[in-house]
Amino acid sequence: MTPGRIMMWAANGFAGVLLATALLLVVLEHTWPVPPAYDPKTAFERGSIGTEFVPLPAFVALPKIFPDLFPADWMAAYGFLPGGPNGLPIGFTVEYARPVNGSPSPVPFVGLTCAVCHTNEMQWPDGKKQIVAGLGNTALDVAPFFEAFRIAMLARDAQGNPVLTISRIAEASTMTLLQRAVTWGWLLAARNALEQGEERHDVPWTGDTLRNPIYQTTGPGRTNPFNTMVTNVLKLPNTSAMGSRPNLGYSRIPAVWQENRRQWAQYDGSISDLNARSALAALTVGATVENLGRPNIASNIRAATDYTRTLAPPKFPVAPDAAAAERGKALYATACANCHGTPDGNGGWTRGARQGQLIPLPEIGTDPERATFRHARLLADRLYTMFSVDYPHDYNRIHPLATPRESTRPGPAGNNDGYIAQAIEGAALRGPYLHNAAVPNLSALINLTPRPTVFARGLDQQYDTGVAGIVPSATPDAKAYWLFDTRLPGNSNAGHDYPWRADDPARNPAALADLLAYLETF
Amino acid sequence: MDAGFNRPQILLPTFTAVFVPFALLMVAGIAYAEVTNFPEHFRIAATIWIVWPFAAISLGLRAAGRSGSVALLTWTVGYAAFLLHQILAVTDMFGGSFSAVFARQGVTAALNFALAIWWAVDLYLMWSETAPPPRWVHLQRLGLAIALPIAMFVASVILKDGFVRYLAIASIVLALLIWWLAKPRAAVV
Repeated sequence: MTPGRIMMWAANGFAGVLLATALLLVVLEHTWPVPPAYDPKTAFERGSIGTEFVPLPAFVALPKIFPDLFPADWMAAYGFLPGGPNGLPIGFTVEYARPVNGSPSPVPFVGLTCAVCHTNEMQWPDGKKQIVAGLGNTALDVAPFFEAFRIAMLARDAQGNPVLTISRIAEASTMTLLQRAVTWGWLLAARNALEQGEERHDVPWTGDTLRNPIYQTTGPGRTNPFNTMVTNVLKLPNTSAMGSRPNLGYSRIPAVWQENRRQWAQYDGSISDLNARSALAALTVGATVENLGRPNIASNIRAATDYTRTLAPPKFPVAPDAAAAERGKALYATACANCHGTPDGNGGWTRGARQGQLIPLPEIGTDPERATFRHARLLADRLYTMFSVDYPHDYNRIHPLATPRESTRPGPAGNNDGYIAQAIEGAALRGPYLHNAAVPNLSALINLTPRPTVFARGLDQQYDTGVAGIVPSATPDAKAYWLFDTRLPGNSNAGHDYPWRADDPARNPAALADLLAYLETF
Repeated sequence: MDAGFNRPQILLPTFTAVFVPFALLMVAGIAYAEVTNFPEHFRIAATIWIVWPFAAISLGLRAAGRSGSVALLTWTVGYAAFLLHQILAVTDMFGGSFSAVFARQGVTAALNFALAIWWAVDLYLMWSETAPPPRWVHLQRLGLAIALPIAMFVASVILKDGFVRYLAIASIVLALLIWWLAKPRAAVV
């Protein structure tokens, strides 16, 4: 056989093997599991909503490779609650779905679900703890968690080589050859994406800044959702018109109880479709328009949303003074019910005249950043366009979570220059209060007690029934590590001075104490 | 158009010249699809991209009367890509449901499936030819050589835009170029 023929046979053999391997991969991919579509409760707790971001073997290796970023108690350190799948926290999901596109995967990926943010552990005065579904996690420090992950992904040793490698990951887990290959591919793609993202996110912080409010300005129990939306979804730099000031639309992680009563969701009433609301929440933690369109992921979004439609808060842990509550009811009727409505005593809610309406910023007087951040007028149009594209996953070419333009504001349905007045089921459990979590307890919100200028926030903060919330301390400690300074932009605790301003001569503390007792019955 | 084959002998250089580019393009298409946000969609797209140049080469050669092994092999691998395109479209885009395919595509789906079957029959006849084929074989071959490019032109150039449109136009130019270069010329006196 001539060298030329040998070369040709070799070329055919090589090409044939490559082609067979590629076709085998396509066939195998059709046998890999897809994330299941769950019932509403399970979908809320652990159903994939498209947020998978790291292979399970890589994730379990992180504490071993980066103990400074992911210490042995990393779950508690970042405010996660134990009790989720695979030894991970509540609200984590482990599914065979690839990040970004949601395609089947031979290796399980870790993602987040609705429950990670919307499940809280109440520390009652008697020492008991209670997991409360639907309540925003007051300890969750999600921004530093993801920043720690970014630091780990981009970390390089003295020679400039990545620290997180497939061989280091494989030391912590048993992996098949295919799993190693997929994890290796993920590692390259994810690291590259994070490096590309430095143009918008800047280089990562260092581990010692993760609990410092000077660097991590969001803090526990809050998110800066439109920061993420702007940088990750719209692919824009997070700066203001002045070129240097970021969006400061901090949002307390809200309770998601009785969502059917909310005609317009979000603090600024920008979305009327609850499924779209949930899809946008998923987008802020890594889901994509593409993977949200996969039938089972879209189904989980809808199912988890359905779970919140009728989810009810728990009872207040101690019985309020009935006589005081009865007296407080009258003050509530005159000072609060118009905007928030009133519980009817049978589990229902009597709607207030202004309930569901936007209260203009000059009237409500609370921090304006959440409603006026630079990209607030841009998002509705951009997001509508994103979900309206010809969508190839569905044979009707319509994204399963697409909504009419009238479902988002600003737009044909009006503007959203203010904060929405909503029903307040479980009112005494919803703290810290205001959209930016600037008031630590309900007593301070109604100006029965002073609103602190600074107070420490963090982990394991005991609920105080006397003030219906946490008792503020101006001194941070190992657990309450994050000092909330209400003098900083985005953190103002001003406004919502109902029934009376703190300095109003008509202010009646006894009546306010009665009002507090009544609110504790919600 | 030379519609008859009398199956040519497949030599290793010819096979290599067709198969290696085909295999590498298929692998590249599948690999490219895997790193996109729509792997299933781009796998389907990539397979139809591969059909275009190979079908164009075959049709160009046959139009010039060169029904040799290159024309047969390119026609064959073009069909392999087309068949994979159809299979992936049904399984990945329509969940394996033919009723979903017809609900979405209607008559177009019927035409697509008919073309796939017709092309398979044509290939079978080509590969099994041992003698000059009867007239009906010539006619069906001519019909397919007209119907398929028209259907693909409508699908890729009129109904779609972007890369596939430009690829389709480039492939048509390629076919015309091959026909012009390969056609027999009268001897110059």
